[in-house]
Amino acid sequence: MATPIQCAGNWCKFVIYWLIVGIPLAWGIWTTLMKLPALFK
Amino acid sequence: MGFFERQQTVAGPDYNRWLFPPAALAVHLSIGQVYAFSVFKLPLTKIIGVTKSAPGDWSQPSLAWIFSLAIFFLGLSAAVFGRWVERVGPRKTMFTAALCFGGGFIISAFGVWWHQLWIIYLGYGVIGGCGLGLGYISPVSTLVKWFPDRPGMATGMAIMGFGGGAFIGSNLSLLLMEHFKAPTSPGVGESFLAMGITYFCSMVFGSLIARVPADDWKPAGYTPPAHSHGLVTTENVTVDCAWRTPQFWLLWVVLCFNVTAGIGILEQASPMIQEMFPGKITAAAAGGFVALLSLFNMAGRFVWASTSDFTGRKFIYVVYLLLGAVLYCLIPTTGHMGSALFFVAVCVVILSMYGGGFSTIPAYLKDLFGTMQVGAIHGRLLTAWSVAGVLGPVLVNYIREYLKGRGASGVGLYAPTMYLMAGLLVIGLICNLSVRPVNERYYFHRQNPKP
Repeated sequence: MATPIQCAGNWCKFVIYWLIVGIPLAWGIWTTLMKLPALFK
Repeated sequence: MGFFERQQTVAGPDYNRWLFPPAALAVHLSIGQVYAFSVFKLPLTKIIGVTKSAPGDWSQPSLAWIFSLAIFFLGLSAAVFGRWVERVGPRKTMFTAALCFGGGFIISAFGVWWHQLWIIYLGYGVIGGCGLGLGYISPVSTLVKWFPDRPGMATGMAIMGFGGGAFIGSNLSLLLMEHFKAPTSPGVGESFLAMGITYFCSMVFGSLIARVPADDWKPAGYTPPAHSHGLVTTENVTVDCAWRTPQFWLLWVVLCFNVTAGIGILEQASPMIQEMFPGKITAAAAGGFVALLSLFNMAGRFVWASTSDFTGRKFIYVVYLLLGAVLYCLIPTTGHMGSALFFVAVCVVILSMYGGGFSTIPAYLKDLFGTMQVGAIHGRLLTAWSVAGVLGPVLVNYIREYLKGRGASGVGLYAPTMYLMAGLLVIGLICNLSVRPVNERYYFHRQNPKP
């Protein structure tokens, strides 16, 4: 059974790891989405 | 025992399995840059002339070899080093992939500064290509072991990262070249160096946080099936036995033709939409169309592979191949109707299934051959991608040129190719329908197959 500190540590890791990969991916998708309006003009 | 040894990466009982996908994504988002390498193609033709090509500058056909070499060595390294990857685990493999891919970029930077094309061939093409292959297969079997209840979703998530890496790669390359541009240089060498360091750090991050589950670990509440049912086996097949089975080669054909068909559209998307709808679609609109295809290619990798956990792998490939064949046959009709919107709708579904074909295959292999060496088996199957990478563009380009020479235009330039692609998908469909459970003589405990 994990202690509360271990649980908190796991959650911190979870948030940090996903932010590290999620932010560049979101930036890449966003900049690509910005090219779409040209298609529908 | 070294830090990179597999035993050092075995997770404790309190480890949250959702901490592993970011490791896989850190690697796949990095190596997915290869899809965006074309961004460098034009600037690389102006290294001497800076604003325009000068005598002594590299030609576009000679630069095309960089990408081709990288994809060739991706397939080769994945096939050759698969067993090593299974033995040493994800941390050492991801670190090696980081050294190769990041190092390949850095070596290529010197190739640009010294204006020696062979150094870029060696750097990005050969060494970077090996980094691509190792990085691509490094998380596959670990993901399948962490998510035995949802293997399609797990591998779909990582392989989606490969599609997403192209977005990051193309935008990052443009930003860096803009930053490093000078009156005497288009800034390609400096951009290669910066990207090499960035991708090395990102992939090392993935390697450092990678953990493998203990042998007896299983998700809470999950009961592994006691017996094989349908195509899903509870046994294991080694990589050396797997590729002697008919199932391996049937899936090889399925993957090869599914990729050939998709890549044919992806590679020609921009000129195709402009030629099929002359006067209606501008170059900027065609750019938006390419971006939309890339988004659906990425999303399809996750959505279709996750769906396969509920429908079964064989059924989802029936959908990819049957629906794909019907949609390919519809493409000329959209041109005759003059409906660009209908054309776009058909193409985005096709591209989503192209991505889905890539991301569902590891789970299909896991179903048939077990988890023990699924990464290595996947590595061998990726040779189908190398073949398709050549076959798809060659078919579309050469048939188009041939038809153009005979006076065809507009829809007529592409219609025969689309019917040919539909035919390839039908062959893939027949192969998929022929897949049966692997004969038990190939199972690991009966290691030597009878002749």
